[in-house]
Amino acid sequence: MTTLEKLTKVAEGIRNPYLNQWLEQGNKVVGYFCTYIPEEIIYAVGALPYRMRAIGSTQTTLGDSYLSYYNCSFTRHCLDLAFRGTFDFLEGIVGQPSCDHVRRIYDVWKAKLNTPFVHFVKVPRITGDGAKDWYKREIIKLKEGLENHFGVEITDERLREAIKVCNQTRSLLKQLYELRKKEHPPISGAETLALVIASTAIPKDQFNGQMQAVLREISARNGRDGYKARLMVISPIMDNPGYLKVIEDVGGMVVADFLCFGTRAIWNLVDETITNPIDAITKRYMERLSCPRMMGDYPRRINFIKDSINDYKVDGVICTRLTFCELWGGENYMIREDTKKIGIPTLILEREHKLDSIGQLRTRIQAFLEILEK
Amino acid sequence: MKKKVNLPKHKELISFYQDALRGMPENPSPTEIVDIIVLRTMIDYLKETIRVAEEGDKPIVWFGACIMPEIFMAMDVHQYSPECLLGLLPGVQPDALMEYCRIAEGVGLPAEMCVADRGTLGMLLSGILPQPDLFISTSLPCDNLVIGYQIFQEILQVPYLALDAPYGDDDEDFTFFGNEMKRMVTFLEEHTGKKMDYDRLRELIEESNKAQELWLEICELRKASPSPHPARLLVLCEFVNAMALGKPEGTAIYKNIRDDAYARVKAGKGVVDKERLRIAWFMLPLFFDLGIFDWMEQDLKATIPMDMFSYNRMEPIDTSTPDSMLKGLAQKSLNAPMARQLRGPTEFYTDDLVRVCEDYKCDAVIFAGHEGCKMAWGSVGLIRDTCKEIDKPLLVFDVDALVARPGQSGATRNKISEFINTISP
Repeated sequence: MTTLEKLTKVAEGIRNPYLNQWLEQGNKVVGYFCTYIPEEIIYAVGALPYRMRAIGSTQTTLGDSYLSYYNCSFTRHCLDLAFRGTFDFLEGIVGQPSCDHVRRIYDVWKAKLNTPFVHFVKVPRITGDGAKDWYKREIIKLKEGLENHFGVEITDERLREAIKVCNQTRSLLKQLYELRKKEHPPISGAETLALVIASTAIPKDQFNGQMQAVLREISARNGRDGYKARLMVISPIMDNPGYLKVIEDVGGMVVADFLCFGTRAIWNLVDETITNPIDAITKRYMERLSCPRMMGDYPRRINFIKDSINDYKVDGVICTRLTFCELWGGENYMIREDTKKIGIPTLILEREHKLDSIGQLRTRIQAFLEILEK
Repeated sequence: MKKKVNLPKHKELISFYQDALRGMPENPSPTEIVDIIVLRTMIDYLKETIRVAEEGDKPIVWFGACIMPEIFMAMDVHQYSPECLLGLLPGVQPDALMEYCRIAEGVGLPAEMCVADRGTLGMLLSGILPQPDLFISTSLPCDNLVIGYQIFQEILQVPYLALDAPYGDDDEDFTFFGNEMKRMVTFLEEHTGKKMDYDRLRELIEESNKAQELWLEICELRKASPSPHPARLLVLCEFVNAMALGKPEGTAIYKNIRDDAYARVKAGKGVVDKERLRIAWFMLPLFFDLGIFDWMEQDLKATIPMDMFSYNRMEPIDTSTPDSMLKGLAQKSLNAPMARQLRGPTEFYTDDLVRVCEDYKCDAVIFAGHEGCKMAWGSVGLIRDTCKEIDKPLLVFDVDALVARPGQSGATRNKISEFINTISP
């Protein structure tokens, strides 16, 4: 098995061999729901920062007992897995008000599950100096909470090391994105998504080491040709590379994205020249590529999308959203209005978390690709 | 020179309310006096909106849900909530908003987004809302408005300010939002050329403090059994808050309600003679059919002494300094309808529910789950647990609180009557 295959396989399940080995060695894992949680701080306490997913969940019976059919299927599947014990390996869970659905997983988790460390970070919904001060105070509280629970002092030194490691992860993944600009990209969108997911589910030092091997393997590949159109995929949480595989199996080539297991997670680095690591982390997280939960920042998001369309020579955009997701329902409307103005066709797909109705999805993508080919 | 403006729905509402006024008896009862003052207040506000839109002598500032109006009034700008018509039109015509929702869905907004987004976007695209000069939004109370206001701003392209409401209710949360109020003042000064008059703000807040003190008395009086006043009055008070807070006529409304409630409690008079059940209605009122509240009271003898929308325990605001006033207004915003119970963790809702059930001696709880309120629906399991713990039967059903879908009124009444007949045969 190549290193690429080993790493992309991580995305197929909640557990993976790297995580299992980490746990067997007596180490701890802290889960978090959103890319606004600073993984550097979790890393610095000595735990593995694990981004929550719901891959492999096939039902929501238990999740529905506390959430409702008006809540997005990701949250219901995630909670369902939690109730079934799938996340019992977590020592901690960190919540935040990403959206009206995710914040309720935290409320139920705190009330009904026995995860030893449970913490909520009140992430602001705006950028700007007042919000940065607030965010800084919140991440200091997270730091103190982790220190108290784990009995480890998170020194500036540990934070600086954590920043270095996490930045390296982002930089390595960004190299993949450079390769995707090629006319014949040597890596697919599905593989890229799988690798970003892997970076959030295995020890970061191991990931960074393996990623260097992956980049060598990929550079030696022949790029993909014979695709029908270059696509950008924009979405809220998408934790199943199978979705992009469906698109690519029918002739789409996903060369760019605006995903939270994608550019939103990795695009911006922490400035390592800032002396105080907490200040550096604050700046990065408050100034990074945002998602529609951040008010007043749509102009910056759409500019990034337009730049990506140019840089990656995108022919068409696919926006997806989970049913009942208001934030992306509204965001996709605005994106389509703006991509229309620059002559880029945009397809909006509503989906559930579980990859179902593949036949219908293929049909819609095929029709979209035919439009793009014309 | 007068501008030509297109505000047909505002004119329609004025006409409707004027007809209602003409239909009032010559010797109105105390409750009817309240209705009369409320109608006059709403007519005045809508007329002023049309006047300002035509004359252009004041900036029109669109403001997001839950922002208190006193700051705008102190700066002599005309505050307008883009959701204004959403709350008022269903009272005139229950399916009035459907046309606008269809327009919004036609341009790509998903059908399961709250009517607050679809209805407002449809009205905006139809050109029947007064064009703002400025736009101030908040993150209250939910994602629908967080994204909705971003959409409106992309269309309006006017100077825009987004205020971030904190998630918690500690003093540092109130201080943070107080600073957001300062940012709002700075923004308004910068873009209107007007200066905040803190003496005027003090006057307005002291007036609305009087209303708040009266409101707290009313809340106390509603604890009596039988409940002195109908549930419909609770909803009316929210419209009063939106249009007349800080004005003597607003305070007069509360004084009338308080005086009448006091007299009724003293005389042992209730909205019904004998209550069969007291219900905590802990979600949005059904704006498309407020008659459901009347029907519950008169036909089922089930009163609603308190509801989620109206429940707050804000003390009057300290007016000693500009900082204390802005922080007080911030705190009041965070205690506004829906914001108080739903902007933060589920405990904000369940703590209030437990308190209301105890203080108002409620026998049961109704969760009329508005389809747009995903954060409320996400709490429904924990709400159910809470009701079990305090031994209160709970009815949960889904409904669109703002738009009358075909059969929705009848179906809702069936569910409520089955529930009430089950728990109180």
